[in-house]
Amino acid sequence: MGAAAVRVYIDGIGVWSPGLEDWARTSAVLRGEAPFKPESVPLPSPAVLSAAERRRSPATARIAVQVASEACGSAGSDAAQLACVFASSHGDTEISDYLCRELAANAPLSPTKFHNSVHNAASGYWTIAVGCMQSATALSGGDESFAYGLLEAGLQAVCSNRPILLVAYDHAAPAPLSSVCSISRSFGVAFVLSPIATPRSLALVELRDPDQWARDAVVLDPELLSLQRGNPAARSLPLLSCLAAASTATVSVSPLCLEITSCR
Amino acid sequence: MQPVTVRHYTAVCAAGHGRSALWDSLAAGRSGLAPNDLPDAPLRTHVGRVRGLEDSPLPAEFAEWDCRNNRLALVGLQQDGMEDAVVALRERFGPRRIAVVLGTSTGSIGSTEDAYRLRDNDNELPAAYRHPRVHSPYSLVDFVRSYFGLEGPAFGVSTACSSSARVFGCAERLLRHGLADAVLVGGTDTLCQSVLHGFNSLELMSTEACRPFDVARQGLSLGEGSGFALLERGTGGGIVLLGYGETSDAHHMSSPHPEGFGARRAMEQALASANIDTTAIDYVNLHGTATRLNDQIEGEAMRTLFTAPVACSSVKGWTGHTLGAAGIVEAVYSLLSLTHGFIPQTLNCTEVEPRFKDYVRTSPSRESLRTVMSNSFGFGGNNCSLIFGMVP
Repeated sequence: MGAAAVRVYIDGIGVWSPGLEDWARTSAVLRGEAPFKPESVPLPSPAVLSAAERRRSPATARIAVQVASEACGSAGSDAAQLACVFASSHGDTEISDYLCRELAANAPLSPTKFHNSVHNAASGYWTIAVGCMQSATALSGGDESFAYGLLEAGLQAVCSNRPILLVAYDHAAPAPLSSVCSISRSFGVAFVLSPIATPRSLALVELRDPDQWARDAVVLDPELLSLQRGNPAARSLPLLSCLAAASTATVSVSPLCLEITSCR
Repeated sequence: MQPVTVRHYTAVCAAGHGRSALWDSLAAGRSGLAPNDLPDAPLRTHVGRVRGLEDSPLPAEFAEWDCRNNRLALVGLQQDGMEDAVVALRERFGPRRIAVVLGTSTGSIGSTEDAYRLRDNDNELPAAYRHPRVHSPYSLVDFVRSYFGLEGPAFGVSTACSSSARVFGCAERLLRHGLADAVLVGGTDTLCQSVLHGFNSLELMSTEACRPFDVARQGLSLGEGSGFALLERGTGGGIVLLGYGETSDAHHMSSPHPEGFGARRAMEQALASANIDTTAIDYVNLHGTATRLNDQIEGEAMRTLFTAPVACSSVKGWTGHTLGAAGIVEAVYSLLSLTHGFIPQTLNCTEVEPRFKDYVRTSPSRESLRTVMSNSFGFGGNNCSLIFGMVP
């Protein structure tokens, strides 16, 4: 990548994973003030989804909509006005598993599950739920999906000079897909990113070329490290850790280097 | 926005391999659609199938990416001098300064479907199919960047049927902000069981070859395709991307907004970013899938936005609906129109919807074109409109 840096402010955060039900809990865990107990919990039931949409929506959409709602709430943003970027390595592997199983059995497909199979299903459910008619991007960058989502969202924010919502998520893959896909944990994270500092800004993040900048190692405890290895969206944990500690640091989130300056 | 140069471009679909073949079939009105003869899909429909992919595996060193989708991508890359052009830019700018942004919707799910059919009694996928680099929405981008040894930003856009139109916006932003000196954009989608049976479950497929905007249209014909374009900052004359628009319907997962509001706003945004108005558009390559609803709402969006009628047509009668590849395939058709001064008919449309008869062309014409628009709309209510022009 080039020397140009993309600069955005983080105005709101949302997190969901078993044992990390929201940003308040997550930041306490990342500061070492609360234990991390990743026990199996039910999927989130975001209030913004109607009962019917909650029933119809796949797991990834529920995780994504949950963290998107929390981030918009904490940033005080009108979700309908925010363009959004949704990043996921594998999309909804439960839906892929369903489609492939039914086809192998020569069984008919559910039309709802079929339309849920598109990679932009989560962004579709979100834009419908909050009435957002702005641009919604769904991307995949493999293991580096979070960094590419951050890059694309950051570029959209600075090019449009408007705030934007970034959502990154992946859901643990079922067998037999788990044998060809390393996603073993469920995790979602969302940020409201602003091109300018606002009273809500928590930190400035500059996206830089990884080769040109020194790195501060963020040491995660073994449980959090295992979460990071088991879910591409959890590669955001070093950034989240700096935000939780309100620290100023330069961390690597491959293929980017993030220079984080606390606004607190 | 500042115009972005379209340095090279190519596409492959059922109607032909490469620009020259696509142009020949376009000018001759020769469709690539044929009765469905895919194995394991006894559905009565027409498909736009690219022949020969079954017998052309990827070169051995890329075997871990081998699947129908990446095979079709390689066919696209090896046409019209695209491979040489990418290599030349890599030499000129260095591998870190070339980005790859490609669209796909179905990706390589066809290989996952095959693997599931061959599961053993313990529900394990067969060893020959256990390639993590195939069973991923990132497979296409991962393959293409590895094939060329590119090291710049590389990600995939997957917004259903607008995927490979949306990549132009991503590329423009990367170029504008100096994160790359050139971007390889495009996309690939291939026929597979899940889309055939999935669209069938939604009752959106035609049994005959699709007839966009015809009063008697039954639905869409599925197709497969691949296309690429190389984009660079600035203009040195030739074809340019002038503008793009990206919007959401906020209405329904698989039905468009009933008044085509999101579609219209995508076109309005594209015009605004190109800093032109509707009178500057000489031709619109419609999304025109031939479903009852798409053509209805797109036609209404055209009527309300272009109060003075503009020449429009859909090329899906040649290609079928290539889904995640439709954006790039139809961008390439738009560029063929631009360079040849040719407005194609809407193939298979014999009696156009009366409300749209001043817009939708049912016979071809030779006209001098300077600015063309291409529309792509996808599930999830994801809309994209692109504007291309020719500069001296």
